[in-house]
Amino acid sequence: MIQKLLHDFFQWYSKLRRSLNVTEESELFKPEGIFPLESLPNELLVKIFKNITHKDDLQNLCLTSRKLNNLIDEFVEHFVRIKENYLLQIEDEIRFVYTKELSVVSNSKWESLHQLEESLREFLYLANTDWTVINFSKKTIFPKEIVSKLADICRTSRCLFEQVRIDIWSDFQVEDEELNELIWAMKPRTLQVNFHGCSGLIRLPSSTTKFNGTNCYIDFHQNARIRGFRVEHLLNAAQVIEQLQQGSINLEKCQRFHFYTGNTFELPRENEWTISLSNPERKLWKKVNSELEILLSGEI
Amino acid sequence: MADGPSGAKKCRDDDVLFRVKSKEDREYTLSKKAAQLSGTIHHYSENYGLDNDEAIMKMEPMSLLEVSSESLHHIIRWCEQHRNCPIWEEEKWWQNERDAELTKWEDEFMAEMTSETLYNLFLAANFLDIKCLLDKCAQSVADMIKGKSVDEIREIWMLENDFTPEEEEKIKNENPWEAILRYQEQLEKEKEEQASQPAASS
Repeated sequence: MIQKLLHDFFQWYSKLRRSLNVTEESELFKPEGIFPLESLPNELLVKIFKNITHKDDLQNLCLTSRKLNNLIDEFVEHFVRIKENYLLQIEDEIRFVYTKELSVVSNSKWESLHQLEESLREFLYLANTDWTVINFSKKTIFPKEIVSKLADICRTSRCLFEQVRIDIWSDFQVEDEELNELIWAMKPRTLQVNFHGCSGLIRLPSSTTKFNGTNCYIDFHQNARIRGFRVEHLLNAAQVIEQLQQGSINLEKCQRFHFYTGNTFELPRENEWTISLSNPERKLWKKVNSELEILLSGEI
Repeated sequence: MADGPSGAKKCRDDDVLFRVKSKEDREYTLSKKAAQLSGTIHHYSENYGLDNDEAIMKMEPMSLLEVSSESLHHIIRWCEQHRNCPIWEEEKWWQNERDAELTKWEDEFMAEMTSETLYNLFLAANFLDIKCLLDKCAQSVADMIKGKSVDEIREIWMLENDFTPEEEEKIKNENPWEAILRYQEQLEKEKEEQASQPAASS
């Protein structure tokens, strides 16, 4: 009886809100009639859960009824179980981290490519909001099959990758072509590529030439190796800027393009590039700055 | 029944029409292209030799015993609107830019739904295996849940609180993501340990 009264009240309240033109983002359909959520088949309920990415929302849903609570428990356990399976197989070669809450580790010793594909598909399904982070870890010679497979899955999974961050760690070897394939398949609206202490020649993935999103960030992190860090980054900065100048990076749709080492400098697009130094007292950064200015002014 | 958002596509005169029948025995037609969005119809076509226009034109209506007339009406509108989207051929999904107009149409379409219609549509989309509509329904329901309190969720979805006060308290103190977060912490710890190793060795 109380439930019925509450339902009637909610219907009246919603109508009142609509008549007053008060709408809210989540008010997507009219609450007339009954939607017996609990009577949906489990696979459909799980589909709904997959669209709920904030833990507080999931927590609230858990608290509504016993059935939903049990189902969400199973749902969460299922994903943890997948991860545990991976842990058993692992020598920590490749690490995929999904959103702030999810992560899975895998490596070249997976039991079967098919099994890997199935699990990645499920994880990617969850990764369609917030940041999706792909972490190419250390000690890795990235198996071509995996990156191709991941790209394949991204292409067919219909995930919407709003924001993708790719972390590349030192000693990690990845072919440009493979990384390109992956980024191209994910088609993120915002792409961030972080190079953590990469030694030797590191290249801006040429996939950025195809990048069609609105934001692109390329970061060279401060936590890179100390020795040789700045010189290398100066080289890399020069290469990136050369690419920008040659127009090989498509920034037509890119509203912001940030390129910075730590917080040292930043190059907004639209030919209004500014170089700001957070630590101008450092001689080396001054050198970087002057090198960049030369490059930007086209004197070399 | 309303025709729906403005600019909704309809069958063209020269379309080859696929015949379907609702559980109330009411017959509907939809273009061959729109029909192929449904995995169920796709498989039916394969099994019954409906692989050419002539066979489709001669076909008996396909009975959809689990789909009401109202749901079928909405399903056909959805499929006609999406008939040029290569959703069934998943490979091509990402080769196409998401059409902003189409997204707007979808939002208007969902905004027309009442709770009851949406519920039936969700089930019908599942039965007919129309992936894009299934995803949209799931997303719409999830959006209704986001940011709502427990009481609000119960009110909207007519859920009865069948917990004992003790159970409720226990769940309140649990975090459904706790296991995952714990796992993530473990990974972070491993990462830190790995990062500290080269420094220690040098």
